[in-house]
Amino acid sequence: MSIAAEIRVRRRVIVPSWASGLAREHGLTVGVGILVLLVLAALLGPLASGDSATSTSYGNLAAPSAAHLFGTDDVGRDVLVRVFHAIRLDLLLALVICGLATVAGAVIGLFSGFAGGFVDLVVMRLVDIMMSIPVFILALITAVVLGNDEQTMVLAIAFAYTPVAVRVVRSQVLSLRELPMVETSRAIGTPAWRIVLWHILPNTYSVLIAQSTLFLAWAILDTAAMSFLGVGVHPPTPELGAMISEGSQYIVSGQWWVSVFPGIFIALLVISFNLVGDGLRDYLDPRSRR
Amino acid sequence: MSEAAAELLRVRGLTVALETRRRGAGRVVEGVTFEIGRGESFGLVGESGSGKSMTALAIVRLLPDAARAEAGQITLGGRDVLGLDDDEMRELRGGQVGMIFQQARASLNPLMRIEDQIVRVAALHGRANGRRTRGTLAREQLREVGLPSRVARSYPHQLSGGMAQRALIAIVLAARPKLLIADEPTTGLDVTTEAEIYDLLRSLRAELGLSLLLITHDLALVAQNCDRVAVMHAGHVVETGAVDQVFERPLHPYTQALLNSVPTLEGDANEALALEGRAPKLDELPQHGCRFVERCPHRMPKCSDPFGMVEPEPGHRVLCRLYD
Repeated sequence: MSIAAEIRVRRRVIVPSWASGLAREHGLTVGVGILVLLVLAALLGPLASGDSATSTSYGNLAAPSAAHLFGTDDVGRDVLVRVFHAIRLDLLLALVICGLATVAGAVIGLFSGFAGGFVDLVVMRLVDIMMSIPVFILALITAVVLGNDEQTMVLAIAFAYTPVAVRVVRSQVLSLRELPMVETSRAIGTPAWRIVLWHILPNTYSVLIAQSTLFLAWAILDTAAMSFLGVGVHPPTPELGAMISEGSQYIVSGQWWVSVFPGIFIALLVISFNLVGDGLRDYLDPRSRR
Repeated sequence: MSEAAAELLRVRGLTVALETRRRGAGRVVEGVTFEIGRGESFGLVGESGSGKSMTALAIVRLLPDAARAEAGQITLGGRDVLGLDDDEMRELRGGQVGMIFQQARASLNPLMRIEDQIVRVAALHGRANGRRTRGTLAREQLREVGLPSRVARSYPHQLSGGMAQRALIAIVLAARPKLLIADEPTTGLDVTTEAEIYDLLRSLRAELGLSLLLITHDLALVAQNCDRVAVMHAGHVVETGAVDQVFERPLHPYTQALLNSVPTLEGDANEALALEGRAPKLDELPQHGCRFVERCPHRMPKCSDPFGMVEPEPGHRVLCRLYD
């Protein structure tokens, strides 16, 4: 039995067939659907409600009601409005982090993989050193050392993700550069930089895009986690992780809504990015297109 | 090709040294000499590791890092290949010589339509000027290799093996090379498709005046498709001449053994003779003289002295002491 067939069979055992079918056939659609709703909420929500995310005039720790669907927090701010604002901020930060890490990783990975030899050796040892430290710890330490604000946090997280992208791109480049495609292209007089731009880089896109959507999901989680710990985004700016942190002390006394709603939205964001990533990787590869 | 003007490629005394970690250094190609005329089809035959692909790579200067053209001279279209700088070399590649390999599909960019691959090669060599649109250029090029114009919009994975090889030929020819080096171009294709590809190469030679350097281990293909042939063994050209000379009156014991190993329809299949022993490995190559000496039924003491090729009949040269 081929490996692919075996994986299909195994998956059927664990997941009900309709669910795996949904994930395979409709993962991209579902992921994009959730994401579109979240983006719309982030863009239009604050406008539609017209309320301020820092307004404290709604009564402290009010339970969810028709007036405040997600309730209010300890200083009387509307949790729903703050969640809308927080999604907007978290999406923006995640996009910037993902963009920085992906571009830096692609450039370094292409260079290292195509140059080979000593350059490659040095780059890869540096990558190994960075990857021996867990991503979150590396980002946390970098952010704390360099300064405890939003921009530093973004740079620190992007810095911590870059070696992952470098590895992904380089490994792809190493296999691509050995293809007859490259030799044929050289034998016909194509300059090296054009070979990299035409033949190597585009063939890394499918893995690079899958990786960068993963980065988006990670970035949502890591931004939230760092803000939860008090690094990066500070109160009163609404941020999902910081909101969970603010609400966490009230869970034991029964006011769950302050941290649970931001938590649900973190989960939705991460799930939708993962679905989109998997779906895009299948879709962008012309060989798998039906 | 007797006139110098009709000569396109001349290789003189080409020696390629290969340095490996496990087997040390050795000359995988030594003193290789041959020439190809304009519009001529030349076959380079030999077993795996005999140096035929290394010879071809040396002509386009794309030898692997471990290998180096140590001595000799390569002249292509009147230019000294080994003396060119990198920019001149890039112009020569494609413009004078194109190369196709086995596994045509892996030679194509899987993410680019055939049309774009053709146009980019043409543009690199200044052939995609405004006069013709991209589509027309690609379709002309495809018609030349007998492919329908719809292939222009296809991706490589949508083509069959034979179509992929034709598409690759169209792409390489978009640079208008004068010499096409084909390194086992039909390995992995069935015999019908193989015959079609060779028909195509033959008609391209007639129409475009293209010269062909065919690298293969298949003697029948050389007999059918080439004007002249060089037989390689362990880095030496042991015999060269017109195809009918070499195949009808083989002079070198290796060529004789090679031709004897082909089973014939009339004879008993068991009579097809296998050659004893194997070709010497990199670290077993003798310093001087014949590299076939260990397996040769006619070996003499003087075979291990340095010697050169002799020409027992006009145009038919052999590297063997039997004909001194």
